[in-house]
Amino acid sequence: MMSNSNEKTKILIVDDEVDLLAELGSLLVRSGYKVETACDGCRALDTYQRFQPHLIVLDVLIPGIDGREIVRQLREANDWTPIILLTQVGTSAERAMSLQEGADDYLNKPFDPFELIARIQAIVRRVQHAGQPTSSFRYHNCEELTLDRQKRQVWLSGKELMLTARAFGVLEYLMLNSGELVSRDKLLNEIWGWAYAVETRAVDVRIAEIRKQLGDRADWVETLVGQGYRFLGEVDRR
Amino acid sequence: MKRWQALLLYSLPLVLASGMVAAINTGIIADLLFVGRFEMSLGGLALLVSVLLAGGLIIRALVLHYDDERTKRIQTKAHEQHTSAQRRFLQRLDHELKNPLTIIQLGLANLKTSIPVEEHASFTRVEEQTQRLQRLVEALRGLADLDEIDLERESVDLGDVLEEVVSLVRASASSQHLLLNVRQIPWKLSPVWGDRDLLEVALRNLLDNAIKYTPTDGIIEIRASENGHGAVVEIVDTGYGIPTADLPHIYEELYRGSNGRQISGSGLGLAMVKRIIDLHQGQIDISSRLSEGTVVTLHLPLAPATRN
Repeated sequence: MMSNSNEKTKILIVDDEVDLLAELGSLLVRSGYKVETACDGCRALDTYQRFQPHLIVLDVLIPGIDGREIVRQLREANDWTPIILLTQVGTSAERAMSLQEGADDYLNKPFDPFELIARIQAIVRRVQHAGQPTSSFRYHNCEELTLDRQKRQVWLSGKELMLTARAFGVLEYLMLNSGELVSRDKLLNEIWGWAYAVETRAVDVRIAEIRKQLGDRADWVETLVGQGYRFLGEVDRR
Repeated sequence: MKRWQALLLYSLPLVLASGMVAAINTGIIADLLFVGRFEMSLGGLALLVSVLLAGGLIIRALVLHYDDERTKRIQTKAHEQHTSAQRRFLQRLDHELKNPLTIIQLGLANLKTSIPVEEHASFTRVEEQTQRLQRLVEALRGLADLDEIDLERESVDLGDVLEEVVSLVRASASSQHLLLNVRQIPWKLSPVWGDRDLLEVALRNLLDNAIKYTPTDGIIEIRASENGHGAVVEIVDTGYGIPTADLPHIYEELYRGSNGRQISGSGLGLAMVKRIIDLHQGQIDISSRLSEGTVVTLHLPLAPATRN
């Protein structure tokens, strides 16, 4: 279902703000995507059927069927078209829920437009390898390392690693996005929340904790000085 | 209570007191004049009066106490209502800012490539101001997050946290030629009980403030110690100080001191610090003198194992 190199990646944008649709649409067209828009839930589903997009950028608060309901409907129909949710509230509970219900990613408004494009590119790349969003899998394995997202446990060669909740969150996020560079700010927002968005050593402390627990496999977690972190191991998911 | 009732109640003891003085005086005179005969009755009268007086005083104290408590309760409630109304307002404001700000940012991203060279400076200014709004929205979100957050409490080595925060701000302090001193009691500080990362955020905010509001060649000193109840951190600067009229408002969201408006900031830093310290059942006190400096004092509870 993914686009081949001759065909443009098709993106459906859904939001109730017409001006947002116009600006975002034009930005994505400039970035080389084919775009259609919809301003409420019902039209979104109609356009989806007709346009058959490769990816949906979906606002949560839209009239008619709301964004989360659309995610649920598609996933129940075993449709794994990648979805990036746009949220306004952005509490940790809301974030966790969006991913559990099967969204591939989400961004809080207002977002950096180029961050959205980076996410779209990352998801398109990822989906070319696997159809389902990585967040829909419970177990993430890398050789003898197993991360159980439901039980919030990590095992290395049969031995459970004792990680703090935040260190677990960091490792989980890095494994969900394995191979991708994740910035420190991103980790702070995702795992700590907005209250922590001040330059501190919080992330480094947890990365050090993870590395220590990984022992001689510490090199799975790579630091790119001044940029962020990346999980280097090959991750299987089930 | 009505004013006349209060007046009556409060004046009662005074009336009784003068009565007693009169009675005792009469008793003494009677003693001198008619030894024996009126002694008992006048003495009894004096006793009665003093009992009444004592009673009056007790009633007065109770009424005053009750009144005081009631006023305090009303004030606290009014304050809480005001605070939560203000928070709701800020949340709505935050919400209403998000969509327009998203659209502006997208628009700027679209325009960026087509701006003629002579308009670049102007375009950059618009971009910077948009980023400023973006930071405000993020700070508001952070503040709102603190209302729902689950603290990850652990035993925290405060000396360690201070060292980290100081290392993060050292560069900006020295670029302003500020002397940054850390003074700690000679032995290791007992660990405090709290969310390490949030405490770091609070200390970082306070140090950033000290640096921002201290002119070149000033001194910033961080003193860590403990008293019988907990850890005490003082952040002392020789900065511009806070005008006395501003002091009662410095923890309010978006409040900027009258002498600090030229210096950039969200106006949310101290509100955030205050909320973090409150979440830790700690205390924050700020004293300041204009043009002389500011002392911020934090009291934080110790970790359970080291509590007395």
